[in-house]
Amino acid sequence: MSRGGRGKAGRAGLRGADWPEYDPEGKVDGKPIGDYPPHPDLKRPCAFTDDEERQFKYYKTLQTEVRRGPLYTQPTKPNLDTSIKTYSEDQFNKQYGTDRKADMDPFEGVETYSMRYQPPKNVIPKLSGRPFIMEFFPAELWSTLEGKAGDKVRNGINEAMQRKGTSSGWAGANGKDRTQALNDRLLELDDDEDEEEKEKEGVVEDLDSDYSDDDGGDDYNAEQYFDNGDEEDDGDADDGGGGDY
Amino acid sequence: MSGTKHAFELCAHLVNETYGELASRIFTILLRRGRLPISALTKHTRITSRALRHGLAVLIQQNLIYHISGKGEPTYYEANPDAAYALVRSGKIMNFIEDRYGSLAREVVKIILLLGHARISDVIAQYKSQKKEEAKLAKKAREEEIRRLEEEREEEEESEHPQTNGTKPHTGTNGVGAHVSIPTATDGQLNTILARLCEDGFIEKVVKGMFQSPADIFNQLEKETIREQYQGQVKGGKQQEAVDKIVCAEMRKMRSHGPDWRPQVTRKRPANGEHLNGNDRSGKRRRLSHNGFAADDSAHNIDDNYEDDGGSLDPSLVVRINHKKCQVVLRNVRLVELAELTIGKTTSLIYAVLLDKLENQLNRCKKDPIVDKVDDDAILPTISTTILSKALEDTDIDASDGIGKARAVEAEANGRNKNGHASGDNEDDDPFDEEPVPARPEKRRNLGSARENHILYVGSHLDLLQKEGLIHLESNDGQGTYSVHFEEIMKRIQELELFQIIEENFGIEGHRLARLLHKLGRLDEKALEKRALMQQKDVRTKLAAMQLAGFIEIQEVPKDLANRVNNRTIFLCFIDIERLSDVLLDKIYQSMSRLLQRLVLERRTYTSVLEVTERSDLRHAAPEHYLEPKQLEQLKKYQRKEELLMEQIGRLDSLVGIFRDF
Repeated sequence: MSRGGRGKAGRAGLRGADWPEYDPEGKVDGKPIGDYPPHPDLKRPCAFTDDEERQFKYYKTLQTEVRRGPLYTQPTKPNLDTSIKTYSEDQFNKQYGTDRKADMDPFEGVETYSMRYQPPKNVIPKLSGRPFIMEFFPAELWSTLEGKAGDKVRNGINEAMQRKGTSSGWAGANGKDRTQALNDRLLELDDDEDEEEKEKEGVVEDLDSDYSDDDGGDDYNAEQYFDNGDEEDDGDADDGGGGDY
Repeated sequence: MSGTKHAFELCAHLVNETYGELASRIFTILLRRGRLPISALTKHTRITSRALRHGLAVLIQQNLIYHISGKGEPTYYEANPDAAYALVRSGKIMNFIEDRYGSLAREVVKIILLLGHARISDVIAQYKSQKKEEAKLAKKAREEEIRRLEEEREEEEESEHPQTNGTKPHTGTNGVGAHVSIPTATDGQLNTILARLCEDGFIEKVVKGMFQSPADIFNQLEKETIREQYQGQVKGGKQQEAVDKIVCAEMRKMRSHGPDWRPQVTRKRPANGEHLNGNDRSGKRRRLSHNGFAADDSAHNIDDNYEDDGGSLDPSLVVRINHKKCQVVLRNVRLVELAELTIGKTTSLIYAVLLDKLENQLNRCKKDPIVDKVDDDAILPTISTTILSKALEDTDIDASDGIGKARAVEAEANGRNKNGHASGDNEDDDPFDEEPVPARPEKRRNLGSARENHILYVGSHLDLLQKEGLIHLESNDGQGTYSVHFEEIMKRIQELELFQIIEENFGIEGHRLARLLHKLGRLDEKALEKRALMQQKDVRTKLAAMQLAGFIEIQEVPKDLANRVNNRTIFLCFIDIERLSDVLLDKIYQSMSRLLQRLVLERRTYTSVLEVTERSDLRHAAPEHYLEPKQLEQLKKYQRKEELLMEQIGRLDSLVGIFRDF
């Protein structure tokens, strides 16, 4: 009663305004709305017909086969630092992970025995497993299709390594020059993969990406194969976190 | 494919779905930037040159990009969005191929889709290696099964339950006894099926020109023609037209490379073998359509239906799937649906046979915008009633059905009971099912009159179809020769779909208003009220809602040009069907690409389970055997979601077919 009276007094001050009855004991519904509140007017599609189910089944089998095949490339880990919206080309390119090894998940990525059963992940399609009809491809891709693109360079590297192994062994001024020359040639030419020589291939790949910013260290020097960690740290600091310190 | 943002997005997602990230990245940049040489592509994609070359090779292998290289110029690459879109149709193509030719043909088509384009010999080799792989997995699965059963038996023996002990080992030995065999077709069978697919145009010979974009070929030919015949320059529109005509004719010649391969099919069969073969085919088709899922039994199919007719194709012939021809078949499905909706089941079945007969004269649904630029009245394919009724005799469609009761009674009075014409099921063509002997002479006696009646029945169905505008009478030869005006009918189907969408979104009133506007053109709000028999308030709210959604547009016509005042302006509402279908198409692309994105997300959520099922040592086993119950539940959940998403995409795709391709 008294509350009503006070209300009335308050209302008198503002003529014409109509206040809703204030209820101090009323409880606010503090529950958060769900992430996906129920759609107010959701229409469910009618059930799928046998035909549609069969279509899906066939699509699915084809898809699985393509994915297990040599031409499929697995998605890299999405780059979480970039924005989801991809308007410009720059943003588009940035959303993809760049280095598979660097994207390893430290919690689940540690290798276990059963991982050897997992299907291999293609970074680039394997072209050696399929027959290609050369005349339908542009001439500039032929060497890639045949898997011969990197042969010349690879042979060169092998020779160089052998020579290094036999000769002085220590990286003198001469050795450094030779590597430098080799790297220059490497940068010019393209390289390709051969399954048997994957390990060497890995070295070549690293060369390709690393030497552009580094001043040609000698990776082929057997003595420096296990390097002291200092250099690497420097490199890292230069690459990314340098500015933060 | 129109170049909207959503269309491109969809294409990129489709390529990503099928060929992975690398291919998709390159494809996206090509879509965004147009044609590019490798050097520019490296710059824009930021992919290493080696990976880029590999990716390009994959894309070319699957016909997803065009390339062109001139003298002294770098090779340019250009995306082919139509081919990318066609990836989503693969399920549909395999489905109707199975309906027509059986499961072996489906497997062959699958291999061709998998390989993109391939030599006949490669297709056969791939088939064999797949079968070998399958056999290996099946063997492994069988061994596992035996081991499992033995383990179970041992366990039971230990726990000593006499009853189950008695039964279980029995089933176990049964399983062991069964020999693992994967039915494999011979080279001859594969050749036969490939030749058949080639003949019907579902696979086509690949020529070099297919890897260049049609616009490029056109330009090249145009240049050549001008140089050779017009001394390097063209004067005036008339000469240009003449050049266009020559170029188009040339391109059409290139397109109809079809007969090239035909001489290479060598048949060793006697002449009547062909006929037998034809019969066998229709029989199979019937069986398949009746059994539905039962057709999956590939062993049965290979043994029963695929004979080696001794024909062989040149093993070095390169083939790929002809998507244009496949569209014709998919369009027929829609047309038959329309016939069933407007007339009835039996008539629609007859219509299906008619369309089927017309199909081998049609190579594509729509005219090519470049090749058919100069169009000298193309002749529509026709079919006569006599040919149609003859074709219907080979099927189990009862033509006397579905055209009014009096006819049916008459038919029965003529001694042609329903069974007389192989209605209902496929007993008739089953060679092992002997018909009762007395039935035969009676049938033969009535054959003459039955055939005449049959033609009459077919004729009356055709009349019905003609009245609905689904076929057009061209001439009176062969008791009426008919053609199908596809464009008109497709327009009708488009409108039907569109109005259905409007009805679903804006209710029956919105539907009514839209149809009124479509029928009467531009209308004032007052006139609309009067004709729709609705209140002003309802009309206004509906119109506003529809205009907001972009379904209806409003035109302002000022009464006085000098001062445009609202109350002296007429507002006319109208509906632009063509624009609307474009907008709708774009929305469909958008929702398809969203569904695909969702699928990727779902896949990422369930990675841990999916990775287990992909393990090479578990590929042969059923997930039920090795997954934890919780994991299994997750897997099932994912599979259900995937199916829902993909089937919804399939539905949207048939809408795209209606609004774009057919």
